[in-house]
Amino acid sequence: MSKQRLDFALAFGSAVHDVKNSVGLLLSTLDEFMKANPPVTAEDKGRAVVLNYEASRINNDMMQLLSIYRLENERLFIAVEEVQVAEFLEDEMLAHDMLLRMKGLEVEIECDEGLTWYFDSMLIKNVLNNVIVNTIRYTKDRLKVAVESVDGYVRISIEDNGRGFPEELCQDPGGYLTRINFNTGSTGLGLYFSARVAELHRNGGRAGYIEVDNNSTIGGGAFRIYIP
Amino acid sequence: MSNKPLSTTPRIDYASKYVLVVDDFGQHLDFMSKALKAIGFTKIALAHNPKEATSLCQETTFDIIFCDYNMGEGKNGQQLLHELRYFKTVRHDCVFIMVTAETSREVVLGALESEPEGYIAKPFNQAVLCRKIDRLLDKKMCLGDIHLAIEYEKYKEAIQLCEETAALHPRHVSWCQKTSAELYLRLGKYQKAKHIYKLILAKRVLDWALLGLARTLIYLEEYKQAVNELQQVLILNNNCVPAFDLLAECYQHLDEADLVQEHLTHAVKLSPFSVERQNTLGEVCETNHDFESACKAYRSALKASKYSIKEEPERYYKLAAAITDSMSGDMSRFDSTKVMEAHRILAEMEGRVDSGKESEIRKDLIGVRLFLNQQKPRQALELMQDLDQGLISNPDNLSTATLIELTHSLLSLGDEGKAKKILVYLLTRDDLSLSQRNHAKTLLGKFDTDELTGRARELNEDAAKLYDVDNLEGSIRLFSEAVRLSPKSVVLNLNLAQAMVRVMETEKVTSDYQKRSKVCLASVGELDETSRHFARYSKLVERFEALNTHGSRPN
Repeated sequence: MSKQRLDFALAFGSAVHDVKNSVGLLLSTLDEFMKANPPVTAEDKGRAVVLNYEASRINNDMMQLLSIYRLENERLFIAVEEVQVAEFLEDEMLAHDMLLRMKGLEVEIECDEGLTWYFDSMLIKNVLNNVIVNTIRYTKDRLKVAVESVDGYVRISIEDNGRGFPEELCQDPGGYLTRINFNTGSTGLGLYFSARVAELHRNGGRAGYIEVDNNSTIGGGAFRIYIP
Repeated sequence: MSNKPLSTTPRIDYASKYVLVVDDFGQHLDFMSKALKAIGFTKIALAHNPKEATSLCQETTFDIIFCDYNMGEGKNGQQLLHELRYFKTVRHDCVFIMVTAETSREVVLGALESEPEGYIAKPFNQAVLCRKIDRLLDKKMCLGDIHLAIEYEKYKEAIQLCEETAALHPRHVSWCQKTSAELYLRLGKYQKAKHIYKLILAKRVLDWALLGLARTLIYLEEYKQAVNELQQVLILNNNCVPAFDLLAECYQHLDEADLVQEHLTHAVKLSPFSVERQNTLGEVCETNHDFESACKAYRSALKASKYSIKEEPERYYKLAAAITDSMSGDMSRFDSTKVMEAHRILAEMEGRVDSGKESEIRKDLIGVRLFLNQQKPRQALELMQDLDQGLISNPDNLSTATLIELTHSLLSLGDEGKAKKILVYLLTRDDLSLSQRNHAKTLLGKFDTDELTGRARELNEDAAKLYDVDNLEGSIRLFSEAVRLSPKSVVLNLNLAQAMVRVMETEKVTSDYQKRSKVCLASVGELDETSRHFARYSKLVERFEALNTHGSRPN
């Protein structure tokens, strides 16, 4: 029995590693290709968006799967470091540069230039990747990232002006197991992952958490992560 | 900053910069090469593995190195970085960027050698790549004078520069604090370092600062406090390899060999490719008489060393010796495949590395124990006798490792007197590692309790019981068996001789017992008057000689 489980873990690990390498290369090559051959027609732009969006989703899913697997096996490293928040977010938006352009979205970042905070930048980046890719998919034409200090936490909000989130998601965003909707294709895995990562961040007895609501300042849904 | 266009145009002249990309995934090298060309680099070198990377670094002075973290078998990016910096294969102004597809970065000790300038997560696009390079080159330039001062070991000046830079550039305050603390440690100003770490920790509990504080406390010999800080790190991150390493170090100082083994075992599970760590683990396992685990650790050390810049013969000797010692004690542990493996490892060494000037001695010392384990005490004694002459009178000329090997062989033979001399001498040498010192102390401690090891001790006890109820032949049989295991043991030889003399006194003198008693007494014959066995020995010699003069003729 234990041997079987070990074999699965190995197979899983190497498969994920392999898929991530492939998808990573796919995304990078796509980026190069688009730079060399910018799509002109709306149809080509649409196709480019689909290619990028789907590849990004696979990449995010793989990352989350790997992280959750490691979480369950207590092998997830968390490395809290001081981060220049504004720079971090600029880089994050730059990573989605092509999607944003193809979709012609208006992007704004609201963050104090000098703000520094403490978190595991790679884990938080994975959380935001997932949220941003989804937001790009569901927003109408705007995306806003806002950073505020709230009661000893730094709150990073990703807001859109789309139709907003369903009510049950807002009630319990991290409750992955209670809500898998195969009809909409939303497994909630991303939000479950986000909640777990937020929770890993602790400071002076306080743990991080996430919120999902429809109080976006630009009129749609908002995802918020609180980091102590 | 809203609506600011996200610029992707490089501001720094990339064309003049030498850049190296290290990745085991060929297609990623292709991508990087194309991406770097696209943003303006012209001098690009590619390496498929750490070895290639190292030799390229020896030829070219690179300005930027991109290195994949996870390169499959062997060394990871972190270890390559450490090695390049440690051997100064890269210059102080080289920007090292760790490329990772991992979920999170590894926690490193905060020591200057092990910290890359930056991390970049796969996958990334050209825009992100450009931005990353610009930022890191900017930072490196801004801190350039500090790096230069450190390179020339002008630590005081570097600390001064850190303070000035921190005042001018608030964004580099953390880096400057961290670096100053590290430099104070190098200067031996532990209180200053402690002060900085405490200052940082008062603001925020950070793993690297806790690790730094723990290291400082170890320097200050406050091991128990260091353990407290390290346990805090494990609460934050129970996978923190350096925390396990430092805990092991604390327990070495606190003489808790079991805990050293436990924590190092944890560390190698998380990070198996460090030669040094596996070697220390092997040594502590030996101290704990856990030879199976020692073999495992030395095997891993040998495997890891094959990927390092310099492969050392020591790895082979250690493994061959541990395999040999895993069979010691009694015949049930004897395993002919292990004997073959030990020989094979020593032969493999000859084919791969320069085995060093003491190689014949080292091999023979292991050979002595191999003979003993094969129940060939005569060959073992002969081999040792050949070695004995030069070795023990001139220990100054021998390396620490060889001397430790020598004590193992002497002890296996039961020659406590000589082993003790060597150990006492060893402890006066200053080139002993912490684990070697503890090992020597543990071995020495055994003499005070007059302890025979393992099977020999059991046989000795059983034989003594038979002797007490006058079953002399039975006791002689068991004492002989024990002497075969530890042929140089004073206690065993005297016991055996005494039993045979007793038979000859009460029954009759046989040539067999006469010969064998003589051998026993001869083997302890170098005792001087200070030995605690001297009185008993002299008495027995008297009784033996009395037999020869007054006893009946042997038939």
